[in-house]
Formats: sequence, structure tokens, C-alpha cells
Amino acid sequence: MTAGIARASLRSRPAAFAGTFVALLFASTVVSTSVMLLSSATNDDLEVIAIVMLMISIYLAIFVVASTMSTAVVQQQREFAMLRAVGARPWQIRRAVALQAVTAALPAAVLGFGLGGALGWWGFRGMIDNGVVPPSSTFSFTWAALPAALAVAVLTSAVAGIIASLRMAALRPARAVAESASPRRELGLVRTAFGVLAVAGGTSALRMTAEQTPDQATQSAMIVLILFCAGIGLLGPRIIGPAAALASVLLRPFGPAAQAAMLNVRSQTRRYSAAVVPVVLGVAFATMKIAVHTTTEHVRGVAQDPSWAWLDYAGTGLYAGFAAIAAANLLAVISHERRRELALLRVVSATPGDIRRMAAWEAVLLGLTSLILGGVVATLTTIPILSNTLHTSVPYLPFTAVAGIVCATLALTLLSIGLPVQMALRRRPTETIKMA
Amino acid sequence: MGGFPCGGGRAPTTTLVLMNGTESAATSAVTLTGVHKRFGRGKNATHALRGVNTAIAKGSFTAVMGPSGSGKSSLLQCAAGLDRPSSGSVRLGDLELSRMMERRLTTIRRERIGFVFQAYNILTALTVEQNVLMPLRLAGAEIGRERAMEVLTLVGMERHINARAGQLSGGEQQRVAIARSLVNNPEVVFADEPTGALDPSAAADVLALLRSLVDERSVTVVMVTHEPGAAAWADRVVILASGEIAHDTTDTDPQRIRERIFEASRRTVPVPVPPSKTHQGSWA
Repeated sequence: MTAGIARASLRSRPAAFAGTFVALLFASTVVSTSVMLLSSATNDDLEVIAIVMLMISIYLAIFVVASTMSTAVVQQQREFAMLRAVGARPWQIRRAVALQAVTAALPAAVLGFGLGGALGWWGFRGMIDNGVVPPSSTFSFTWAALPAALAVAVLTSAVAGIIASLRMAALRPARAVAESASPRRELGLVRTAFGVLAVAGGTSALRMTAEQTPDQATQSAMIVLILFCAGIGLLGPRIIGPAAALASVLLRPFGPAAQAAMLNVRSQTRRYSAAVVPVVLGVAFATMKIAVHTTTEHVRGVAQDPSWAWLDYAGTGLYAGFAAIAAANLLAVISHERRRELALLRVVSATPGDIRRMAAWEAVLLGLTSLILGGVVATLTTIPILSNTLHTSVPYLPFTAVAGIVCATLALTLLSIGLPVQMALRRRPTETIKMA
Repeated sequence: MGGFPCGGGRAPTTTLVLMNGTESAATSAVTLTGVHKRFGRGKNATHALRGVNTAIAKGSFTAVMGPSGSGKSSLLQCAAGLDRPSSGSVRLGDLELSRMMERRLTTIRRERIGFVFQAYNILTALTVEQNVLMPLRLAGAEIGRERAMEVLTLVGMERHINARAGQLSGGEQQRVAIARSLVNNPEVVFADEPTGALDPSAAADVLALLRSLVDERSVTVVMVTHEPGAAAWADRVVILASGEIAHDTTDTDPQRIRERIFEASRRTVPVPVPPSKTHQGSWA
């Protein structure tokens, strides 16, 4: 029966699983790359790198797929409430959700295996060029990566599916229906307390770095970053609000479409915070990593060991990739759910151009909000490292790096909001209103 | 059996007092005694139900009505084991539901209760047969196509047994939902606004079907509705106001129900509503 329910949900909402599929595709690609690198490894360094990549991608995949599956679960809440009413037990619902995720995992793993081979080959050449591995070594393609990718994709998706449906499946059916009509609004006390704790912990860890050796300081900077990011995630709506207010000051002079966007975002910080948090994490992490490398080069005046820099950037790309997938999925789902509201605006005289402009400004505003918050976290974590290792507190970021981070962030928000809006605009507004 | 075993109709006031919780379980399908339901805590608490006492006779068709916020959905959810009352007792036959754990309640729901909702009633991607057999399959029972055919015949949908549920009209989907609600031979079928999303002719079909199930198969039906026209198909109308039973009557004349709800809505709303804004036609 579980299989029947899972199949039914997949069929009626294929779009809800697009995010899960993309996240698993990314994870499978990295897993299969790691396995192939592992089989090509001629030295211990490369083995360690490949294993670390493998572990990180499994761990991140669970989080990101749990996030994408949660949005899919929320969309199906009414149906699951009905099934609970007619006698489904919580674990029957959870199994169905896990099975949905696994269904997306199988094709993702196979496709990821192929892509992983290509990425591994390309990455291996990069490693040779940057001196990570000796030029004589060769990349070996291995079929063992396929079962590995399949196993990781199936396991992570099953675990993530269970995590995503843990709470919802246990609700009494009456409560589940009530929540699907009006989602919980309050930010739980426990959550706020943990958020404050994380930020406080980050701040005190930051203080400690001043007395540490450079090596220790670099390690504790990571802890600071993780604590701040956890704090932002937990306190999300409370922090995103002020940051969005700051970002909207920049948008104010740009006319009515920008102002409408400003109002939309600021009245729904709770919804958007879930999407903004991963972008903030990605921006903070990437900025910190890049700033440490570029400032070191700038202060010391010599190029760094390219192999170290290359690996660090590859790892950063991995984190940023997962963060981008989580954010894009949430933004796309939020925008897709707004199609009725957009149709209503069109009925009362907004042109498709007006809607597009408004959506674009929303994307810009969310992008700016993430950049502001990510920048603050990155600065807070980078400065102690720099003052400890290089005795300077002024990070040096070349213009191209700044431009790269800004453009990537804006491209992410513009595309993930723009595509669903564009799709919604293709339908006649009266049709959309009738359907939803 | 069959017909209108609900005693309330013949001697309204006296029998109704008897019905309020004291009638023996042998003739009551559901008995509610002193049922309260609160949401939230402290100052923000809202009382959806404030001490409801009633008994639903076996083989009867009861309509639960009331203005928005009167507690009619909470009453249905507590009576049906979809939610637990804050205090008071809910009995399904002889079985006390109000203190039962969710796991046990789930079993009771799938074995002894049937449900029809207003929307999201069936899985549109599954076939009619799969939808109808859902409660049995969830219980792990190996009962098959014959049972689906049997209940689909009762609702006149046997020809559609292999159809994809999403291809059916709204009224047909509700019939499938009713068939599903009957598949486990329930003691009571609870229907929450079953005609709320239907056009008048499809709504009349669904109500006639529920009526015939009560008359011919002695099914017990409890239906929440806001349409006096729908309540007119019932044997008995319970009108709630502010979480209490304001009227309990076998007089199902739509015009009089309309008047009573109007009266109840004036009691419900703390701030008096100007007559111009509460035009009675809104329930029609």
C-alpha cells in the first residue's frame, strides 16, 4: 500500500520532487567522482581528499534532501491527513514519503554516476595541473562508482524522507488539516533559545581565537562560522527581517515594482527565511575561503601552494552547490505557490511585464539580503584568522571575486524565482484562479 | 432496524433530554458527555466546544450545523476520533475514545469508522478500486476486488471501478469517497461538508445516496454542513452556537433551520452584527 501512496503522490506532483532529484543528482555525481578518484589514487593525500568529499556529500545530501522533501511533504499535507483519517499509521506515511524520495534517487544515481565520471576526469586534470597529484598518474574510470552512488542516494533519500515526515506523520489528523490551512506562525521558544546560544557560542569562540596559535585559530574560525550559521538558521525570520529592511533602502528609488517587491518580501520574512538561510551560508563560506587565500597572497606577496588552494576551492564549491540547490528549491516552491496571487494581480490590471519586474526586484532584494548577512558573517569569521596569521585585520578581496559572488547569488535568486513566475505567466490568469 | 429509529422526533422535548448522554449504548452509535475542546493556552485559549452532551442513535442521519466558529467541525473531529477532546467523554458504541492513544485510535478509525470530507478526499492518481480499498489495505487486509465492487454498486459507481479517480467529476469522486467510507462496514460514517464543493444537482445526488444508505442499509451518518438545504435530508438537526448545542430538533424544514442558525449566529458573535450584513441568503 505504501508503494501505491508513494506512486500516487509522485504522479500528481512531479514538480514537488524536482528539487529532491537535483539534490540527489548532485550528491550522486560527487559520490561517483569521489569513488573514481579513490580508485585512481596513487598517494595517501588523494585518498584522504576523496574520502572527505564522500563523507561531506553524504552528510550534506541528507540535510538538503530533507529540506526538499519537507517542501514536498507540506504540499501533500492534506492528502496525508486524509490517509491518516482513514487509518494510515504514522510509519505508513513516513514509509511512503521515504519511498517517494528513493524513487527520485534511482534515476538520479544512474545519471550522477555518468556525470561523476566526467567530473572526476576533469577534476583529475585540474589536480595534475595544480600539482595535487604527480603528472604521471592516470584517472581510472570504475563501475564500482555506480553501486556506491546508488547506495548513497537510496540511503540518504530514505533517511531524509523519514526526517522530513517525522513530525507531520505523527500529528492527529485534525491538527494536520488545521496546519495545512494556516501554518504554525510562532517561532518556538526552544528554537529561539538555541539560536541565541549558537550566536553567543560563536561570539565567545571568536574572542578566544585572539590568543590561539594560527593553526588553532584557523580551526576555531570554522567553528565560529558553523555556530553563526546555525544561529542564523535558527533565528532566521528575526534576522532576515532587519537585513531585508536594510536591503530595501537600496531599492526604494526604483519605482513601484521595486516597492511592491519590497512589501512582498518584508511581509513574508518567515517563508523566505528558509530559502535565504542556505544562500547566506553559501555566501559566508565562499567569501571566507576566498578572502583567506587572496589576503594571504596579497600580504605575503607570493602565490600560495596551488594544490592547497585548489582543494579548498573544490570543497567550497561542494558546499556552495548544496546550499544553492536547497535555496533554489525553496524559492521555486514559494514562487510556484504564489501563482494564484499573481493571476489575481493580472486580473486587476497588472501586465505580465509588471509581474516580471516585481518578481525580478524580489529576487534582487532577497539576493542583497543574503549578501549583506553572508558578508557580515564572513567578515566576523575572517578578521580573527587574518589578524592571527597575518597580523592584519583588513581582508583583501579582488574585485573579480566580489563580482563573482554577487553575480552567482543574484543569478541563483533570479533564476529560481523567475522560472516558476515565467511558467505561471504562460497560463491565462482566469484559468490559474479556477485551478488552484 | 432501518427507517428512523431516532426517537427525538416523536416527542421532541422529553425524549431529547433522554437522548442527551443517558440513552443506553445499545441504541447509540456515538455518545458525547460533557465534551470540551480548547485550543491554545491561558489568555489566548479559544473554546471550540463548551460541554456538549448528545447521543447519535444507530441507523440515524444527523446534520450538525451552526455559524462559522460555532464548533461544528470540532464536534465532528472529536466524535470521530480525529482529535481528542480536552475533557469529557466520547463513546463509540461501548468504547471510550476520549482517552485513547493515537495508535489505538487509528486502528479504531480504520476498522469501525467511515469518513467523507469536502475535498482532498481521494488520491486522484490512483484508480477508483485502489481508493475504495485504501482503509483495508492500510490495515493489511487481503480483501479484494469483490468488496470494492460491492460498495461501488451501493453508490452506483460499479462501472467506474477501473477508472483513474482524477478523471471523474466532483460528484462522482464524492460517491467514490462514500464507497470508501463504507468498505470497512463502519458503525458510523462521518461526513464533513460532503457537498460543499459540488453543484446543486451533484449535491442532491450525494445527499440522496446518504439518505438511502441510512434507510435501506441502516448506516449511521453524522454530517456537518452549513447548507440548510442539505440538512433537510437528515432525521435530526443539531445546531451549535459558541461551542454549545443551541437547538436539537427533528424539524428539518430549511426555512426554520435558516432562522434558527440566524438566531444562533447572533448569540455567537460577541459584537452585534448589523442586520444588513447578515443577509440570510448567504446560507442558501
